[in-house]
Amino acid sequence: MTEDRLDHLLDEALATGDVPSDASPTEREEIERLLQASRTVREAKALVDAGAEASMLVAKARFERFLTQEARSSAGATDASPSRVARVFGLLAGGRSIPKFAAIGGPVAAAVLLIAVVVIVLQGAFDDVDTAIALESGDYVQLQGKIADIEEQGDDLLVRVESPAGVYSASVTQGTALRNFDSEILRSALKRGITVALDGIVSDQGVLVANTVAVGDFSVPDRQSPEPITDARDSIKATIVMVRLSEDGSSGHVVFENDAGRHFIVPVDGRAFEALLHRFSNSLGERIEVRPPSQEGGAFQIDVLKPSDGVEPLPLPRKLPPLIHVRGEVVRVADGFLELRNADGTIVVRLTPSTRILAKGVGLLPQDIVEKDAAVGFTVTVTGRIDPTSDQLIASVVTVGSSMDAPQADRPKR
Amino acid sequence: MSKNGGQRDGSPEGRRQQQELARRAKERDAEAWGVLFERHYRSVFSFARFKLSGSDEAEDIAAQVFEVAYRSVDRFDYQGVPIEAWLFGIARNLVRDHVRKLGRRGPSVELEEGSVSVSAPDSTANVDLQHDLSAALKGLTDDQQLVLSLRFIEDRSVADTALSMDRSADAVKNLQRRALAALQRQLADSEYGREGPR
Repeated sequence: MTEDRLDHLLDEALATGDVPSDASPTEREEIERLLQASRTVREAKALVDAGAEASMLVAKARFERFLTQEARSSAGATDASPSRVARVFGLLAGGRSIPKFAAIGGPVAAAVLLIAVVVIVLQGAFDDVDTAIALESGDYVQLQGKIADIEEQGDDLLVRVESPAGVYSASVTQGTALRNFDSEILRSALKRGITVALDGIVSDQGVLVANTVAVGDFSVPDRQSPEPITDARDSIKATIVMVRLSEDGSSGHVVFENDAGRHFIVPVDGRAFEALLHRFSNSLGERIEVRPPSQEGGAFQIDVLKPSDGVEPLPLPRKLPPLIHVRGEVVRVADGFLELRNADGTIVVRLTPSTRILAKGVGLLPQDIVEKDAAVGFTVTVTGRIDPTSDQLIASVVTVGSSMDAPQADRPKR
Repeated sequence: MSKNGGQRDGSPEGRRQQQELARRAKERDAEAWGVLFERHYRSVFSFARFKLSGSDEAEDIAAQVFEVAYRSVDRFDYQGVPIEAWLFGIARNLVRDHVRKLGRRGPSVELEEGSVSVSAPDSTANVDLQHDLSAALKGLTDDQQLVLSLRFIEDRSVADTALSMDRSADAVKNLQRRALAALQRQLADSEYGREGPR
């Protein structure tokens, strides 16, 4: 029993899980002891891994601040200027980090992997003549654009987003986390010239509390004043540019681009959003068919176009990164909470008075969902944000589909 | 390719990429440091976590490793040592200093408390396991702890571990056996070892 032989036997046993058959009884006894010790270490793996994952985001932010400070104190060091540093962590898409959503538990952390709380302050932009859609308090909004400017304001960043429908100012606060096509990224990924998609709800103070700001290299449609349409004879095949849904979830507007590149804005009803948001976390860039209202002055209908409808998939430059959402089957409703189950486990979602519940497609009313067990067994899609104080997922929009609905895959990754 | 997406293989292309990354890191290229952080944070954290009882302490040490590395990168010679081995060296020194400071402050109550807090959400068995393992690991050398961390926490292959530790594969096999034997002895001396796995 030489050391080399023991090394070899152990290595083989570690690879296969079994002591090699040619080991002598003495060797076998020794290797089994060592295997047991290795199992003891492996049992600690989950704890160490969880610690690494949970600390990654904080450590990243700390290192990023360190790099920025170093760059600032290094006069003339152009290669590590703050703007360059700010670009760094935007490139760190390879790793997967789970923010510390301990109170929600692992399943939610996994399911909403990249959920971030982002507060976007629209500084009077909604009333700006430069904007095409008049947004109101309580509106749920999805918009896209290019960052035109970033300015540090204390711990926050003031970001101006040039969207196809106008210029909006946004403040990304301390609690902000962001994502790209694949994973979460740091706020330093926000830089002039990059394209973003975001969603959120306009508060009473004119603040858009965004659920997600998603960064991606996609081409934003040209900026132009969308032409309002209140009536039409024929259906129009189009691509969604921007959406807003009213506070009660009953109506809204969609800005779309037709195949000739012209932008239009049409009123739509809650059912249209129901179909859209149940299917996609991010409706921006999706191909749709806009159908005229059944009666004059009514809402337009929207059908989501699929490849089976003969629609060409969007070319890569037009694909947008996904926004945060959770899908699952409702297993319990209690005290303003929905308990969902999906492949990641059980997820608790908090409903608030401002949560839009879109369930007409399955013949349910919002109160059926909140007050009764009517939603149990149905598949729901929830867009929302994490409350940083309670770590709970607060639903902005809940769409309810039939229990037989297979959750649709989100848009493919690039 | 490592599980973190980092290029860690010993192929000519892998070495060339490492060399290029090291060159850019020496120029304090922020992008290169971002890549290094993403690629090596977990393993540095795991190593620190192995040596310390608290997750917060490990996070602090792991973060410090990259700050110290950035400041002292002028002294780093890629030809001599792989980047990760250099980072582990820094981690080792920082942990040593940290433990020394704790020792000066007083009894090691802090370490014990840290151990429990890490495992708090888990079962009592896990808490005990972590506690006993943590205590047993303290009896191992730095290299023994590192090889166990890389092989069984990071799930690295022998070849990959050899690259990270700047050793031969045979040396790693020998080291891992000695590390497991030492751990087994330590565990046998503890309550955990006497009672067997829970």
